[in-house]
Amino acid sequence: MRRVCVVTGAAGKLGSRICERLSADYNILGVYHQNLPSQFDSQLVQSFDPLTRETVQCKSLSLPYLIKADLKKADDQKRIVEVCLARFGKIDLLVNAAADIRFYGELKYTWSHLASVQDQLFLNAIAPVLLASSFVDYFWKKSAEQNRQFNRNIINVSSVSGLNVYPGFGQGFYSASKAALNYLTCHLASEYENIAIRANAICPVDFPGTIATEAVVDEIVRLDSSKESGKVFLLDEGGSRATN
Amino acid sequence: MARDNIATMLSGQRWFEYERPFRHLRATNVFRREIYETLELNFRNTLTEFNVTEVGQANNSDSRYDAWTMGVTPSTAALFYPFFSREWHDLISNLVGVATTGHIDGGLHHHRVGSANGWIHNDLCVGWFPGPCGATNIVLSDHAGCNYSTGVCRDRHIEPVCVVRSVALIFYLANSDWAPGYGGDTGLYETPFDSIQNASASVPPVNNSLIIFECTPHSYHSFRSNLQIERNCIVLWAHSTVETVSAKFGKASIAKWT
Repeated sequence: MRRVCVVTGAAGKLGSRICERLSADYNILGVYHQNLPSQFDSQLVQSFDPLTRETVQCKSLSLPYLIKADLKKADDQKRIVEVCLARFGKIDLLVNAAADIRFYGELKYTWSHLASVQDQLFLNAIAPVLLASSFVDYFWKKSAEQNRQFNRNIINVSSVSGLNVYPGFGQGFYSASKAALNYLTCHLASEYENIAIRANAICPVDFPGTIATEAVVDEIVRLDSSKESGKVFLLDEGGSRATN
Repeated sequence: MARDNIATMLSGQRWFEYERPFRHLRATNVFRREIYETLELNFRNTLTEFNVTEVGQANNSDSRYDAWTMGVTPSTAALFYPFFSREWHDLISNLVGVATTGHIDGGLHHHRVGSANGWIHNDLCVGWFPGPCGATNIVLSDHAGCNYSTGVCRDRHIEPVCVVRSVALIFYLANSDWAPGYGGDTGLYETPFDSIQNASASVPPVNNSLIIFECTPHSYHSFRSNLQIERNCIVLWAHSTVETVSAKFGKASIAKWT
């Protein structure tokens, strides 16, 4: 039976690649907000050869299914869960890849960007917890045995900026949001251990750049099939290693 | 002059079909580099020839469209091959899936920086041509000889043909590098009552990219003000018979020029 994976940030570089690559083996529900993902085939966008009009649907048994949602809205979060369960009947893997990656500058100017940094903290750190909790409430809390059997888990895409301080870039709030996400991931793992839901965070260095986007997807695939939980993994040129 | 087959002119990249807010096709890196560069050079030379940056704009008959426009005629069509050719006409008609007549209207559009927003419209309107078209050739609109909007002909012996726009194409070229916030994009809308700013989707004017869509009662779109850079494009419409479009969408849905 194909695993069911929900990916937030499906229009981003990483989210797009996750949807594209995992769709061969997973049923994907991709969540986007502003820009419609167009780097992979879905029910909303399909690529074709202009000369033959041939599509590539045959490559994937099930095209990723996309929904537009604002993760900062409670009703939209619930709709994600409801659409996922209505369409696929279950959820095995939640990948929180949506993020506001902007650097809002020096902290002394916070008043100038207060609404933006509050939104960033919410989207990057709190929204992943809320979405995971919604899946727990609607589905995962029903059966620890099934959760264990299907190795169900949450993967939060964090950042090396959540582990280290990089002075001079004005990334204080971005860094704080990712550090918060790391700790919240560990608390998710602790709180949901009783229903056999695993939770981990990965902290890549810059990608694509120092590492390839593909390396991040590799790590997500590895973690999904592993038994790890409550870990924060640094992902750099040397590979992946737990930091806690 | 021998013409490259269109297949050899395309870059080989896949195109994309979008479902929302209405069905449309998009493609980036449409042509091989040297083909694109020739199109851009010919476009720029035409702008220079007509002193476009000097004369300003809004030379077109529709005061709502803040642009310099120039219709492509039989004498200039070759500069912008393959767009105004039967092969291209048939390619885009087949991709969209509509039966077309071979009549093509089109031209060059130039928006200087700060051009005003357009208006939300669907392009489903009539057009007049100076005669019927065969199965293998094309007939270009001839605004001087046969008014595209009214069908009034300079030569009274011409029997104008009325058809309906059914396939629209915008090809972006000769633009500076585009970034979000620059504007000059084509907004796509769900209704004609949406605000220009709140487009359901946006197609940026990235060089060597295009959008194609069937003109339907729902194909609402608009030019959006270009705040930072000039916006240049080639536009083209293929046409269907009034009967074909009426059967599909109802005669009342076809707009007349006002």
